[in-house]
Amino acid sequence: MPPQATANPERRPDVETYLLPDGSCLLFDSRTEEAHVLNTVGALVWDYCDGTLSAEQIADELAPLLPEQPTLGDDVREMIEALAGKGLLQDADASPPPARPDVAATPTT
Amino acid sequence: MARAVSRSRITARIANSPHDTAGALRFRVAGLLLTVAGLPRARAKQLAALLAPFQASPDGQEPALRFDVHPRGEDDVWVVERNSERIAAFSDADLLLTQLEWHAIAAGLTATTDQAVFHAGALSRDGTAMILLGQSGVGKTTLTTGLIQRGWLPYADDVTLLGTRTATLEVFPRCFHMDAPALRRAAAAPPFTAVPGLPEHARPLRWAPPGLAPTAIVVIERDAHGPSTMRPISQAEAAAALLGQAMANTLPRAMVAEVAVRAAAGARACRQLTNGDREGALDLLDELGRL
Repeated sequence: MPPQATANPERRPDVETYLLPDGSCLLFDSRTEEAHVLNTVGALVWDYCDGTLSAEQIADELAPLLPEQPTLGDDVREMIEALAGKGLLQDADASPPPARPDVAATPTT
Repeated sequence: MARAVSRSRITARIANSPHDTAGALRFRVAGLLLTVAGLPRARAKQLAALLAPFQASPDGQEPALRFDVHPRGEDDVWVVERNSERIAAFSDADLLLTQLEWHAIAAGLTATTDQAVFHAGALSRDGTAMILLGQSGVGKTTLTTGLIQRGWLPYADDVTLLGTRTATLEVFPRCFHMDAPALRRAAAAPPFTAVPGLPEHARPLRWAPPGLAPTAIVVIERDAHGPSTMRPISQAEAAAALLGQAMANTLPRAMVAEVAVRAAAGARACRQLTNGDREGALDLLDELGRL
């Protein structure tokens, strides 16, 4: 399993994101000059890959948006692994993800 | 002792005679001014016909590119130089012409930054415009020719240009290169004109109106054993397919990706066509043009 799959996944900033009117999404990797196609669910997952959420947290966030997706948790994990496999996510070892602002702001008692 | 030769052989000898060469031909392809010099007069006439829409007037401007053709000794081999650098040699004069045509076309398309260039056919009818994408051999020219005979007007059968700033279609009036069955069909209902001396080439008599944004993008696959079928694909899939058929040129690929995305974003219909039977495929494409 790629290392990113267990860390908080984060989009590489040099991957151009194009959202199309029909809800699909095209990613253009400026390093490889390759295009990658995402469906609507994939586009949502990609949007949430900001380095602050784990795969499970992303699935939790998306659950209310995609109630018709019973296997959402597995789907999200697979998508993140696929994105990582294509090299579209930040290398988890290279840059540790920042803490989520809402978590960091939580006072400890 | 003199050897008897056939009349066609004599004709070929005269047509290819290096002792009767034409002056330099001038062409402008996608903005690039280039010349071709050194062709035997008869061959120069054929190349001029093949590239007629691209001919440039002698306005004194220096060409950016020069192709020079030299005969090599007595062995009927033609050497082609590009800006004094040898790039190819041909013993077949017909092949020499078609390769010169392609080198001229490719040089212009490689240099342009005003257009993104795609390996695709494109047509228009009644204000709609359709791009036909696919690898070589999937039937782009055959389907483009068939649609022309159903009243569509072509932008191109093989090289489609989309304006970099507008993502709209531009006419690229290159001759169609057709196989024998396609030529027979074209001759049966001829919205085409033949190219003298080059029986596998024909040029449509009318072209599509420039400046339309594609309303449909069709990705074609060939299946010679089944019926033709069509299924929807997403706009992102259409954009990726378009980008996959982009021809490498000086335009940065990121910009080509933007053009492809803009074209797909404006398309009302994105489809994958499995090209089985020709008439079935034409019916499906014709129907798509009415959406």
